[in-house]
Amino acid sequence: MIKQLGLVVLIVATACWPAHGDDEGRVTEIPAIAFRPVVVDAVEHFVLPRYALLAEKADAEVTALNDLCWQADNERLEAAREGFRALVLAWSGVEMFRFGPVRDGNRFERLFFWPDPRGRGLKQVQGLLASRDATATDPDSLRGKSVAVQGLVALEFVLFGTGSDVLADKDAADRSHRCGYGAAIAGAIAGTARELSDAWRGPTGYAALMLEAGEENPIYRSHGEVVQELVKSCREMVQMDQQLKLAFTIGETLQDAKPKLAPFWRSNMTIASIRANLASVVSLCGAEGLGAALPKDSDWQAGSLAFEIRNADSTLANVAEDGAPWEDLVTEPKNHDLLAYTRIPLGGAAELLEHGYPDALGLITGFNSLDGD
Amino acid sequence: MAIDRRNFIKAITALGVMPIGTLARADGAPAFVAARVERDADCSVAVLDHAGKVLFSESLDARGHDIAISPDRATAVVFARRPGFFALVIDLRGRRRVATFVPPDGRHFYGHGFFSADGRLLYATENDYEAERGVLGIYDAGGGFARIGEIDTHGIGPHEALLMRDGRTIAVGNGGVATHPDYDRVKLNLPTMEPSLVYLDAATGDLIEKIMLPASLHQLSIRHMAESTDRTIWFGGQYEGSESDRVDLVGTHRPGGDPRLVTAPALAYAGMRQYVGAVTVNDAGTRVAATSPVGGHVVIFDVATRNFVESRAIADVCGIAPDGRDFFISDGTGRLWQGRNLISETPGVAWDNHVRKIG
Repeated sequence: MIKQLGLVVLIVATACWPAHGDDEGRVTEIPAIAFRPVVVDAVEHFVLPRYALLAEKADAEVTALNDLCWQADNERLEAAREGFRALVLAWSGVEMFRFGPVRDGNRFERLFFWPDPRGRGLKQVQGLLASRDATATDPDSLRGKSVAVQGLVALEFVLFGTGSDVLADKDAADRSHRCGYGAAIAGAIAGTARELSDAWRGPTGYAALMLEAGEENPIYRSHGEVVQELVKSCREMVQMDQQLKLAFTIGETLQDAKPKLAPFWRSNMTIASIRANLASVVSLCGAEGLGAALPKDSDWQAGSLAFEIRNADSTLANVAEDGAPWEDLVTEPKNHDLLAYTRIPLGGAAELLEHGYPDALGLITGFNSLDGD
Repeated sequence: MAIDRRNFIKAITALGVMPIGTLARADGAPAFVAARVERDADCSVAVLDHAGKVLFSESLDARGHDIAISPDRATAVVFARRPGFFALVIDLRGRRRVATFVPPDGRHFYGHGFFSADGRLLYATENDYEAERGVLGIYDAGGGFARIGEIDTHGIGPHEALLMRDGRTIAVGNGGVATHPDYDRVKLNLPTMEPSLVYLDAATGDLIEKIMLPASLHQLSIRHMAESTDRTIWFGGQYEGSESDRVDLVGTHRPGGDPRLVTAPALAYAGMRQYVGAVTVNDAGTRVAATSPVGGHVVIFDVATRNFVESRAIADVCGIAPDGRDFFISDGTGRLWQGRNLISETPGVAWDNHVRKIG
């Protein structure tokens, strides 16, 4: 009875959503899809390893920063910067998730305080650097401060922002505090990343919650709901990249460009991080991931998703090829056109994830529930 | 009494759904106004009779949200959904649009508003987004809806606001969530958000009282509200904290008192998935309903006892208005309900978040 009721609700909700019915509004047949296998695969082969990788890269960055603080030189500064780039790529692989453990205790914002249209985070970071506040050089006390001063954006400013060269100058007066703050940020990131990885694992972890979806589950009543959550994450990631990180920062014209509103421009990781975002979308939602659940007559969509994203990705790779700083290349006409062009394939990818996948999978994407108000 | 999920669903199922139109009155008189989207593309606002029949509609440039009805029931103003940049004025007697107006530079509508007691002024919740400050824009209803001023809401993200039954006190739900139109609907301050319920003097704009929930609930965004006949504001929240937190989503406050959250069986709130999209009181003043499109449930409480009465499962439900002892309900799948009775369904139509009763 309960299963029957669930099916009725599913059919009702799906049939009347405009995108689901045919032209005469008839009920769309809901395919019988076994969602659990793709959920197991997504959790075990995507989510858990990627959060583990984030924790691993964060630990490595702690080591690199401590090494730099112990002995300042260009080689160690470059190692810390390289470690930061690897950490950004690891983060970009899980940035799509805004549900679950990353939502607890403001962990998302602790790791990635962006967008920050007023530059509040930067002001706070600069304030901590200038004050030589000793509590900023201890990871535990730092984690008690504003979320804006303990994540990747803050660490980027310490390692790449104005005055960061002092980190390689053992005689510079500002070096010790700046390096200590950087090491504390790395420590705070590592702590948050470990918490995240741990919260996903174990018998009471979030992975178990997803794997054990069902009537008694407090969050997911079916594995279809889990798939819906994951597909939504893919869609939101594509839209975030398309609309906020690219379209908004490059502007309609060269004159409108605001490249410094994009994340990670100081480390010139803007394009690399977007590419890592997009690669993770293909991994999670493409043919090898959740796309495997698509019915045979719709499985072309997984190929289309990969095609659209590959198209955008190769354009981004092309733009970034010569390694010019993001803020310079955005204002170069040819690159601006290429970046503007990515709106087309990314729009196609978002459309597939917003309507194509949910329709084919019989998932409920409610009109009023989609993004709420 | 503990209610487990199985019994809860059984109870809901037992209520059943009656055949279409058994109780509806098709009298052809304007009774409700609601925004909608047709075929996933065309936005409009529709005026309905009591049976849910569309009497007339006017197209909108983008999605509408809530509607303000003038005290003489002659005028309706539909606000664009946030970040909203237009409002449409409808002559309910002439059954046509009569004007549109826009917020000034640097402001956008949040989608809600109300008329003054004498109908001469219209108030709209707005975002002064560069200053990250909530305001109520004041428009001259008798003068082409020219904007004649604004008052501070003393919080970020004012959403629903209403004029209380005394005709002098304005209640505003400051959701606390900062947004900026450059970043569309991205929430910019979840770690530090501070929602509040604020009372303002309609005559002077002065702050009368500002109510905040305990610090542990600072991520419960107060968005929607209704006033019951005993001068109590019933508010519905949207929780931005952990999904695993179990939070009472509905609360009450009477001016001068302390806010109190309303308890309900855990499964009732669990069915709302931490999200209330609309709140209203029935005409009889005996019941309050809160809807959740995210969880697909309407939850109903008794005004006098504050007890949970029932929960109804309706996929993508959000719009709700008083209708006698029960409620007139709309959902995102094109359905209209009179109480528990499905009275209309229109494939290809998605009813937007709010439906407003005329009068």
